[in-house]
Amino acid sequence: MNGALPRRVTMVFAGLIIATCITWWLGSESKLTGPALGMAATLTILIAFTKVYFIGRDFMELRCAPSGLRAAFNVWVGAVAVAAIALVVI
Amino acid sequence: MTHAQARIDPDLPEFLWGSDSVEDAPRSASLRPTKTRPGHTPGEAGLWIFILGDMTLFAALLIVFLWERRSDPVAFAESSHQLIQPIGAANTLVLVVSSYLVVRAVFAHRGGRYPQARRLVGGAVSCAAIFAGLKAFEYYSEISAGHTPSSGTFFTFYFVLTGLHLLHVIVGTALLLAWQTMLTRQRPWTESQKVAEGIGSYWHMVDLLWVAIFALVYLVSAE
Repeated sequence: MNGALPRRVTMVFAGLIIATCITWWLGSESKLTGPALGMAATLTILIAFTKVYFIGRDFMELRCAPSGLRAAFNVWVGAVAVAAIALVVI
Repeated sequence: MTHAQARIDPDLPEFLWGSDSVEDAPRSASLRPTKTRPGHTPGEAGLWIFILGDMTLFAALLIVFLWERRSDPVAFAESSHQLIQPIGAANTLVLVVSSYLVVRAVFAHRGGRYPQARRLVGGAVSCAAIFAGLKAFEYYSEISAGHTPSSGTFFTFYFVLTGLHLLHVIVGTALLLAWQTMLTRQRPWTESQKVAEGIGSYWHMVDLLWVAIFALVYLVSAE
């Protein structure tokens, strides 16, 4: 834990910006119908919760946290994402 | 240091320790390679109970929101289309930028670069102000168009979720300003580590909750 910002953090930041633009485009694509709509919704949720995972791992520094804390966060991300996809798609 | 000892952080409550208990330490140590890093809890351990609890409260609200949506997806889609999506997207970008500035501020504080850390925290506070300003404009537009918390299930959830989140943004901004004061006084990292990391973690929680709200309320509901 020194004062030098890891390059990985900046890469994650760039990824989060790109992912936000992709989810916005997916969500505003109103021409989609049927299965494509369900796919877009699933993809939107997956991308959003992948973003959440990386915010926790690299911004909150949970990648260096005790395994119990890391697991609690990961379970939250996974459970909410799965529940959201199930409620939206099924 | 054995594997089991490496997973125990005395700062954390017992249920957040690693999955291996002290009793099965010898077995685990013999089966798996020794891990020398003890694991670092960012901020106060107690804060993580609050953060995970808060995240769970928002998750419960979002799950109930999606459950209600199933009973009338058309009405939810129509209501969601009334939201100003570009403002929601802009606010997502603003919070991601603010989170990045906070990460950089933590590292600058760690390295003893106080003026830089203070400027970075100031940038995050500015992002918070932009977020609140955009949110106020959005509320004004929605209410002017006749969309109030009593305008239906969708708008009840919309105002509750975004209102609670805005409250978190306000609290987070106050915490960021307190951190900035610490930086102005050049309090060394050894004395302010727990507070600075705790404030940073809280702010990142504010960011990740908005990412989930934007995806589910603004985007998925409109599909």
